[in-house]
Amino acid sequence: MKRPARCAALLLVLLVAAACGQKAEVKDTAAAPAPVEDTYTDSGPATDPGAETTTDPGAAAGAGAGAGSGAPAPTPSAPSTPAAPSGTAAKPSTPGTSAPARSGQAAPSSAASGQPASPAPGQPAPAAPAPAPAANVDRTGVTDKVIKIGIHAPVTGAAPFPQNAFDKGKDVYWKHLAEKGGVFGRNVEIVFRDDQFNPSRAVQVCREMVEQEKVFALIGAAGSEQITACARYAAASGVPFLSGGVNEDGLTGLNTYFAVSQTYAQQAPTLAQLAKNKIGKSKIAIVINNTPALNETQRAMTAAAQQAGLQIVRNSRIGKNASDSELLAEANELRMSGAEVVNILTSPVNFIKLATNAQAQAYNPIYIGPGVTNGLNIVAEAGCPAIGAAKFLSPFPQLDAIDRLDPAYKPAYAKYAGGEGDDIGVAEWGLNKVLHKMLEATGQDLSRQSFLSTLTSGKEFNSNVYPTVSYSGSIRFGAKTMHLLEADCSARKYKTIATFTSGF
Amino acid sequence: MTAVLAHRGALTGTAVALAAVLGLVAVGSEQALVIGLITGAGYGLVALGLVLIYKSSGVFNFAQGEFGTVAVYALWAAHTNGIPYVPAIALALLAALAMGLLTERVIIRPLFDAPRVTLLVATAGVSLLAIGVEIWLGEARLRFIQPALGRFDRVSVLGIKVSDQRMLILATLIILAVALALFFSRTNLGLAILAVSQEPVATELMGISVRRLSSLVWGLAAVLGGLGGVLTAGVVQNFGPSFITTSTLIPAFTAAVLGGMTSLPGAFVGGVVVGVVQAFAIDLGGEPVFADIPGPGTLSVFLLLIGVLAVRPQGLLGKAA
Amino acid sequence: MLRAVSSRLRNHGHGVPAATGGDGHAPADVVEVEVAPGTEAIVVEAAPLFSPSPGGWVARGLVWAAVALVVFVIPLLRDPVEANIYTQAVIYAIIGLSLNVLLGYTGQISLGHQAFVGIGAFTSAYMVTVHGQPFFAAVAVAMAVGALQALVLGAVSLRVTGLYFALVTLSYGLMAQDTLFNIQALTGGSAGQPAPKPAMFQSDYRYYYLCLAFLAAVIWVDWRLMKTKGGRALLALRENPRVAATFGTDVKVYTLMAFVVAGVFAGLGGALLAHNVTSVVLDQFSFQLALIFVLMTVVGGLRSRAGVIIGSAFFSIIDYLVFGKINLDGAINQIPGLPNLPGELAPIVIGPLLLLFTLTTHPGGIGQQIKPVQRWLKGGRFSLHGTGEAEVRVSDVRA
Repeated sequence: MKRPARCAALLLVLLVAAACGQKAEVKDTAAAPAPVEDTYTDSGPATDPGAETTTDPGAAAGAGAGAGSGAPAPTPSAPSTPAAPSGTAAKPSTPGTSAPARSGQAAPSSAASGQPASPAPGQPAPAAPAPAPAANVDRTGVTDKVIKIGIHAPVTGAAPFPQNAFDKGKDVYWKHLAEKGGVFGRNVEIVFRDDQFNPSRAVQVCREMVEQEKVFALIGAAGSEQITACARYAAASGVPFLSGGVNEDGLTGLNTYFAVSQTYAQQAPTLAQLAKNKIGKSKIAIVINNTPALNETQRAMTAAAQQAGLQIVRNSRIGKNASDSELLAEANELRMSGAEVVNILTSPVNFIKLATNAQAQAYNPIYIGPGVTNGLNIVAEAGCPAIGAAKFLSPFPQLDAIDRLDPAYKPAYAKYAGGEGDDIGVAEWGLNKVLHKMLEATGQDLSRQSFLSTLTSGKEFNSNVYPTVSYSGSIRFGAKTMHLLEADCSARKYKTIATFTSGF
Repeated sequence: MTAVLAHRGALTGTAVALAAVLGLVAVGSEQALVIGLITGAGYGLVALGLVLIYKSSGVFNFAQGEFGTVAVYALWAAHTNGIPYVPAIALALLAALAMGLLTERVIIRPLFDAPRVTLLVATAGVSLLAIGVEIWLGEARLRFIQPALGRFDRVSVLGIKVSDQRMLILATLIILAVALALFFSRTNLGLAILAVSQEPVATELMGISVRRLSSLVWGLAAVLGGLGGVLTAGVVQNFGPSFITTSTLIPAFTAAVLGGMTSLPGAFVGGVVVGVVQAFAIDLGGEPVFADIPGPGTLSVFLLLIGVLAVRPQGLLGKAA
Repeated sequence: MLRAVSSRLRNHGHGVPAATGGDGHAPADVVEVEVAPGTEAIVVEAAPLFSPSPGGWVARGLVWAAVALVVFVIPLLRDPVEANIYTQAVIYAIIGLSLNVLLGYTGQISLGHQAFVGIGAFTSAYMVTVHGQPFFAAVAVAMAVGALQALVLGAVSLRVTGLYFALVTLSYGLMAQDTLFNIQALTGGSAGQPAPKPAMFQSDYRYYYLCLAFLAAVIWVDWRLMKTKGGRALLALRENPRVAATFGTDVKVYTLMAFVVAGVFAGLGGALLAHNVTSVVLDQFSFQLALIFVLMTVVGGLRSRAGVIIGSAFFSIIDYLVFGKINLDGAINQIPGLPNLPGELAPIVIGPLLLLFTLTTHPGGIGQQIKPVQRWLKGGRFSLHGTGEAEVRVSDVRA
């Protein structure tokens, strides 16, 4: 075939294919997150199997792909019915016939409704309880025996985490729980994906987990940008998403996102008091990664320091991929500013290099900071002796305290993962335990709606590992305390010096 | 008068350098000089290996950084298994040597007649492979490595403390640069290597084994790279996969180009210049006026490269093509 | 006259003697020969041009149908997440073709190609999000911006030869990631910029076909361009720089033209990529990505469009398809003695190995290997041996 004819044929086929595709979807409204109201009817005590939590199909579908249950037959409301996975429409079929079903699986970033006739997507309609058979209860990922949860974490990519660390510990808690009967007879199955420390990749794997693996909920293990990206997707698709607290900017207003520990901004006052009262110094420097999401964190840290009466001698931002030269210059500037305490929020790599350069300038301030990753043992191992007696807040306690708070961890880890548990395992254990408490509180009748409704009911979820959390209405950053870890450079580890603290 | 004319290049260079130093002091960035000198020494050390390879085979060796990283991994593995530090360094250099020889044998030699750009891509492939293997066998995490010389409070220049390790790098760089320059210009072996790069067929006809010389050069460059890696790791005291490539390869190439890709002392000079320019740019980046320009360090290195290639492509000390 | 005919017979490119007509293209069975009186005329009977048997046609048709099936129909049958991944394969093919124009035709290598693509991506996202422009206008702007920066770099390349130019592109790529892409007003800093899909192409399937249409357009433009005088001049330049020098300053113009074309394709690829994942974040445009682009183009095989497309598609979905679906890492892990190679890591080890293998043993890459098949599909005889064209080299000597 000659080229022009071939191209013409190509275009013809494309037009035909496009024409047979589904109707024009509504333009992407994900840019404007749905206003966070309590769109989920509170069905009273969540363990009451009779009360069905329902929402308007528009709101549910406004949450996007996961709510494709509108198209196939509605599931009966009897609690023991296995959930009809709403994604059954993934059968080979010609475009024309299965258009409605597939439109339910449309690009989740578009808040397209599964039913063309539904009200404007993204607008939560008043959640009047529908008649008893809840036609639009989303039980994706839940069956009689199994609840599927998806976790994404950085394995490869620019994050210096040990390869298997996340993978090894991810289902220790659930295997341990399975011995005790699981959650109302259901075991939790973990699906794990590498997000390559890259936000686009994180969205990709979250989509895979939601749309292909049909998980019930998502968990973001680490990496604030990945968490933010995936949380946005999850909110647009109506999938519950949990993560440790990171920035607030970009995560506010997402109605399926729940932070299970304090955000950076929430930790600001605690850190200021730590410097002033516990450490007893007054000259503080603030060093934060130069990303826009952390602008609000910088404001919070500055305000808290001022409030506590500290003298801020340096307030700077460091590039994410700072060169040796840049870090040396920063260390020098810190030294010349005379800061006694340095409140630092950067990646572990930058922190360690900065501390090393500072030490080489015979400058050894006390490093403090919020966060999850700087308090990991890998940082102490690679960064000692330069990091000195660095103190970081953390949602989970270190290995020296876990026996006191939850003695089941170490034996369970040894039994199901083999070897001695590490602190990343503790983090996962705690996170899973919080989730367990949430699932338990939701009760036998588990659906995304009932889950979300339980979460926003103001109940407290106490895992005794992670801080106690509670949410309501639009409050999604629901922790009030954190643990305090201190680096012990003689052992090259972190130890826990305060648990469940909210100030000093 | 003729003496002045004959050395006008060197005189201009010295005058420019003096003016630059005074300028930096005038704007209050004299510390950038010190920071630039000590970070530039690290760049110069890697640049030495680059110039060596280019001088003898006309190849831009992208894997030079990974010779260093592999050496550091070997050092760490040996040291944590109980071998004392200095022998462990020897083992590390052996590992780098092995990698260099292997690269030369498996990749460079088959592509001997291929275009230079093909070889560039091939060495990039080698470095990628090395990084992949590092992540696979060694995990992507950061690890601690102690320096060869631990004291850092002995010397202080303009308020910046220069650690013993950094001075070791500077000293190594100067000694090696001079030694290699003498090697190429005075010894028979050095001349033979240069001959190979210019006229391989004629050289072979003279009875000199081109293959053996090629192995020698790559082995030497790999050992240089390994040494650079080991010393640099001692400064930052932690390492992860690809850390030399990520932190120093592009500045080192810029340094080599700046110094003149065929001049070994040029690598040293180029390294220092790149270091100072970068440090100065970072210092400027802190000023409110320039605060909105992100990444001043990388930007300055890029502009320097373009500038050199535009104004004086043969570099400061290289011969005009 | 007779000698002229026989020399034409000898020099025909197909390796099969065939009579040619006057313009060298249309075969002719009979050629009229004028013979001077008194000379002996030797009638040379030319073998007919090869034409496949009916069975041969059917076989070729089936293979074409299979290819069409894979490209057009299979993605429809998979769920949208997978369709999304196939779209990425198509977009990588466009990017591969862009790098192919550069590397294969001008012989200049770009180790900063991720910056070309990234600029296209950010431009398109910026146009749509900040300026509210419609999708196609944004893509057009992205292509224009891509062309512009390629033009600038092309001008640089005229002064700076091969290896040094590679260094410049590398430094440029790093600079773009650290400086250009970090300008928060334009790119949203490290939070990135959203880039929603256009209204008409919201679903992953439709977007896939849209990208396929763009790919077809790119192939066509590339093909046409190389038929022009400029394209042929560039090819001549690669084969023999000294001869090409006689073309004079025209070569510079054609080189710049090739750069612009590469820049347009790269900008297009970047824009499509941005809208495919509906947000652009600068983290994805790292130096590793530049090397992946070079990898896929070289392994695909330079100057072979089909090879580059296959290579690019392969590398873009290698970890999803090969290690996710086929579970190759399970097989690798059976090899005793080697530590576990998790699926996520396999591409970063296998990719470079493939590159080195291609460069040292089969420099023509995939394209070279599938040439016999390509020829067969176009109606030629299936023959494993060369057509008489010179073996593909990665680039000419420009250092």
